[in-house]
Amino acid sequence: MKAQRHKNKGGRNVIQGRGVMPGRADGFALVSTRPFMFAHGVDPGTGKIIDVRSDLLDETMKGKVLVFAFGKGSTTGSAWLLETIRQANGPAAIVNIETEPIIVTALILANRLYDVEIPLVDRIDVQAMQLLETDTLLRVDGDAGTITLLGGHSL
Amino acid sequence: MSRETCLHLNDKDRAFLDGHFGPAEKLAMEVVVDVGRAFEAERLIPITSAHILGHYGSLHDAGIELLERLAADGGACRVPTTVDPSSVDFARANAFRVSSDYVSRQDRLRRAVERLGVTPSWSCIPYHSMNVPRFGQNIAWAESSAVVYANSVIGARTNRTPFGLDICAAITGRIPYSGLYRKKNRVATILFDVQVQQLSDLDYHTLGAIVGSRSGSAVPAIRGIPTSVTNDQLKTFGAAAASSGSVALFHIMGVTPEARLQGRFSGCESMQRMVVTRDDLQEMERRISTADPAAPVDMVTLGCPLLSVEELKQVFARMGGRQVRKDIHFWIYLSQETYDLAVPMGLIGALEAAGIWFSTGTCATISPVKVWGFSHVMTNSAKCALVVPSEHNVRISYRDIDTCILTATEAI
Repeated sequence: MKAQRHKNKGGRNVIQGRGVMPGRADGFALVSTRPFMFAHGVDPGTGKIIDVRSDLLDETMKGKVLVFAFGKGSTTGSAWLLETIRQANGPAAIVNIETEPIIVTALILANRLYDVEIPLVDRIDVQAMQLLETDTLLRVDGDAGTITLLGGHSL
Repeated sequence: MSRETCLHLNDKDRAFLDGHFGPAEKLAMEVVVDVGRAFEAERLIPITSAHILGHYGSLHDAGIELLERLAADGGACRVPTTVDPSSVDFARANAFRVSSDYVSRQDRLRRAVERLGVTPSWSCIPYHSMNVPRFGQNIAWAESSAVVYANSVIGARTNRTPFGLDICAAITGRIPYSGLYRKKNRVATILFDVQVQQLSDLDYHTLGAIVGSRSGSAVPAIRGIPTSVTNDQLKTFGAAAASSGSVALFHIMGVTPEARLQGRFSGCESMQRMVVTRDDLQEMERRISTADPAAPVDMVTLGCPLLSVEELKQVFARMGGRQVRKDIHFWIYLSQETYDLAVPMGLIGALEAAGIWFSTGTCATISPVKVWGFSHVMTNSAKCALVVPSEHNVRISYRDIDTCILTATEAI
């Protein structure tokens, strides 16, 4: 399934990917150009990124649309993300080029245990990824599999 | 769209979902099914074993809540299941300055895990004993270093099962048929040509870090590794590859079982090919270290992954009557099983007398070492070096085992 970009009826800029986890959320983008690690990489008590090798070191993911191509690191990553969400410091949504079970399992458990819905869209192409810059306001729709650029940069 | 794809469930799967086997089994199957739908699996398959995570340092209170809920609701593992190391060595918690609050949280995890029927192995090397899969078996293991070993060295089949899905797979005995359970996804798609003579023990860690950081989501094939490579070297290679990237399976030509199978290397000549030279190893070695080499070291640690008896014998041979310096902590991590073997061998007594501290069922990466306030840690483990700096706010020197021992000890 190839991701496509097109303008919708409202004239806004929309990136089409695959909806992996349902729900809809708006937030400012926080974009990492490196593989992202939740295990030992986020402080669940604040949502701050603590991976010393991350280009997002000291940024906070709380309420943001967290954008990164791929996950990496330990299979405990789901617990780190789940605890971050449990403490209400999780991201508003996640966007990947190709997601992985570590991330998805955390969002499933957040939903089942804490009734928190965090949409996840993946399979956007690399060019679309490059349009998502930090601080761009985005709307992520996990049901439709779309990312809408609400402000800042346009396509 | 994921939710439009059809995940076929059999009658028993549906009975789980309907709560026929109880509320824990229902929740566990819901999680397994949700993951299956997200990854567009067509069906679930049976597993023959599971290996789960159970350390408070990563699981946090959310992990306690999930495992306690499953245990309280009567959940029980349907397949043989072992558990990864704990964050606390209960017998030595005081000596290692673990707070009573932290101990009690790990103890809640311990009790939940035991109530769920998990074998309390507290080891990241379950494949040494207790949980040894056969070639071709489907298993659901967590712990990225154990996953990569089971897939690559043994030829069993597992994805990098995350915390949460691990226990749900153990309770249901089922896992979505996707990823590395499927033969077509086990074919190598990137080739590393290792053009280095005489790879040392440390080189295998470093090579793993190179392969992991350059493979992305590809399955790497590696050429140029001698057939004399040991299982311990493959263990450390895999641990580094898994923690520097997300490698869950590798094929080493002439060494690992599936590398011999037809088709796994198909199109080998057309694959993206990367040459690894001595220069590449040296550059990665430098990158893994974050400390100023002139700064004094206050802690040296070995045992990530946990040391085997063979590795412990190497440490003993290299100590040569030296003593641990008064200003340095030298800690070695073992499974309880390895420790119990090493005691009658005389290894533990001699090395403890030389000033080494042993700890069992945990490791430096996942225990609350932070309270010691170390600023400069030396290790021979690329995985430990890659993970510990963030978690414990320390600088790392990544050196071979001889340098670790020479740094930590002095002649008497």
